[in-house]
Amino acid sequence: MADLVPAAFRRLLAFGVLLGLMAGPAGAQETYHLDPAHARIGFAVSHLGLFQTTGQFQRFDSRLRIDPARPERTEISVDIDAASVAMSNAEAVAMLRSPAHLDVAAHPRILFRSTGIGVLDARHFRIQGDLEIRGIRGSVVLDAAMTERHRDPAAGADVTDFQITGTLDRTTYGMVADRDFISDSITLQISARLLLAARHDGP
Amino acid sequence: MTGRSAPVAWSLVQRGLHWLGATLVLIGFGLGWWMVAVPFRALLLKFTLYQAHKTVGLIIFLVTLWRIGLRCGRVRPPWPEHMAPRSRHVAALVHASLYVLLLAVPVLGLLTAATAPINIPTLLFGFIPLPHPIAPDAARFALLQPVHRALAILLVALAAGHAAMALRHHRRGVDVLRRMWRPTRGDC
Repeated sequence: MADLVPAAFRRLLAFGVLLGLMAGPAGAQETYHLDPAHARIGFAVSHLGLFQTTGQFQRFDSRLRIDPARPERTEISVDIDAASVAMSNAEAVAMLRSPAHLDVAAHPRILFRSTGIGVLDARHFRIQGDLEIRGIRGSVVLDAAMTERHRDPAAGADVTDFQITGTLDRTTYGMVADRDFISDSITLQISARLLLAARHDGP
Repeated sequence: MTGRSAPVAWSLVQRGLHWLGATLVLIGFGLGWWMVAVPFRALLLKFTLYQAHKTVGLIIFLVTLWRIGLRCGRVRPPWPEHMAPRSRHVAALVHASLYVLLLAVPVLGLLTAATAPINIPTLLFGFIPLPHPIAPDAARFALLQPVHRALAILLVALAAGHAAMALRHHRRGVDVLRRMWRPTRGDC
């Protein structure tokens, strides 16, 4: 069968099978929320090319809308509470919340809406989307790597973990403060866990 | 130690290191207060001041080790003739305390930098990395930072007292300051 099915279609099929396993009743669009206990939206910036500092956003809502019949139409949306930015230093957090950086008072939400998902192979995806920070919209491309589906005893179900990476240029979103010390390029380090339908043995 | 008679003054190297150490302590102390006062708005300046403060601290530590080595290897110039034994003991205690603080404060400073949760590396002269001996830890940092600060204040206070006494002796015609500055008779 491998000879008869083109590689690209096979990959899409694999993604579709995965989503089919994830979905409940066939045909309906399903909406999933990522498990907040296992989700992390982190970022890192470089300083003078010498070292990095990292932080994360602690409050966000994420939605994964899947149509098993049309897996390429999967939509991911993330709504981040900008004020929930956290770093190890309180002064740094206050600085990030200020108008010169995230300006959380005027722009309390950071929004992401995916516009397309490409399947690279059975476990690697490329997510394209629109990101809105400080009311300014830019496009980002994220790379998602998926682990094997495995059982999580604590959840009592099968799960799969994602590691999602990408970079963005903060100046695109009007964040130009402290360019002499903070890099323009921000590395995104996102991890997520999807709770899958329980594996059924038998036909 | 070898039966030599006591020199009349401190050696050139000892004198040089004494004043170098004193200057660096004042500079390091000033940088310490300045660097914490600079707001996050001036990030590059703040970062530069922190690295300069840590660089000065390391140099003070090394200079002090050298001075202690010299001090242990040489006979010291004699105590002033009319100085009472009790005064000599107090002076010796102050000097010893200064040596201890000159080592302890930089060590505590490095530990403070290491345990700071913000996890910024120590880069001497801005680019030579000095490894941190322990990992960031908010609880340890909360303990180490005020101790480093308090001992630094104690060091400067003791040094000021030491300087004041040296001036007092000098005004009374005792040559303790002169033999640390520019001895009139040849040094040994």
